[in-house]
Amino acid sequence: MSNTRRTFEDDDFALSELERAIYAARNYVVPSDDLRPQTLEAAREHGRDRTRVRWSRIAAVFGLFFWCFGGMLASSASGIREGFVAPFGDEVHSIATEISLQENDSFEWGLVEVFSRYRSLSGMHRFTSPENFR
Amino acid sequence: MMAVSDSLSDRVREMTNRISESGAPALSGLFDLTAHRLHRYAVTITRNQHDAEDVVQAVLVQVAGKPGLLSQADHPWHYLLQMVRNRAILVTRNRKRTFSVTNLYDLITRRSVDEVDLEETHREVWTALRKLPSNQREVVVLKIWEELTFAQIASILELTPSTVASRYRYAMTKLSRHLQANRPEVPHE
Repeated sequence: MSNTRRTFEDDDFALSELERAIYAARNYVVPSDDLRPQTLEAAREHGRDRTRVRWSRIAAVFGLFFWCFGGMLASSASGIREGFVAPFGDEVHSIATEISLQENDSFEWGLVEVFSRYRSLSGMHRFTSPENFR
Repeated sequence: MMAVSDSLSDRVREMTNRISESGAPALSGLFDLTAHRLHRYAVTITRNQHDAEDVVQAVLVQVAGKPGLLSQADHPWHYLLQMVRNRAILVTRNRKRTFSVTNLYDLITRRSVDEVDLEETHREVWTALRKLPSNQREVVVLKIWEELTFAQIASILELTPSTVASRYRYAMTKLSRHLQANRPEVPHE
């Protein structure tokens, strides 16, 4: 019997012994107990942040959409509004006078005639000018 | 050896698919399966308990956010190890302090009643591992603890298998010397 140090260079047995010793030590160092709850909470928080960002993006896209198309609608509506001309009192008055003179009738009947024409015309063209009553 | 890694890859893929279906709450399965392994690998690179835990947390949170990263990988387990490695290297580079400690006082160690007599050996192994250069240390960890082949390690570390094998041989020689130096001479025929 002799006192010797068996090293890895000496033989394969020493290598496998060394590998076994290293393998056996694999679970010696462990993560802290806090790591699990911290990681799961961080993942949840990250998920919530991602959801918030996603909804913010969707809201931004919709906002942009409504801003663009809202502007277009507003400009179209202003065009419609221009077409919607109510008979102004002065114009109606002058047309009624004109009709009453033409037909040799009273002003009141001229006024009735104006509104009758307006009703018949507005059935076909909802937004019409008093000029069309003549 | 390939079977261990492949089976782990399959289980990682399964857990990742669960995260895809159920979201972040399903991360617990992947954590229980991989966190300990990832942590010890991160410790070998960062040489620090807290940095290693930060690395593991950051990587798993990233996976919970984008599970497709793993589920679409050819070898999800190898990809996860690569993610941990990249993050750990980044943390180590950004760290202002440098760790030259070779003791284990900064690490949390497990003391099992059944392995009291082996605790000293485990401590010596970890201390010897910490004395190795980082590039040799991680080869040993991946080869022995993760049971990967030299070719698999080479793909993770982006090296050639012969370089990996050479690093392993150097590392084992050094480890053998470190461990023998700390031990009394054993009577041997």
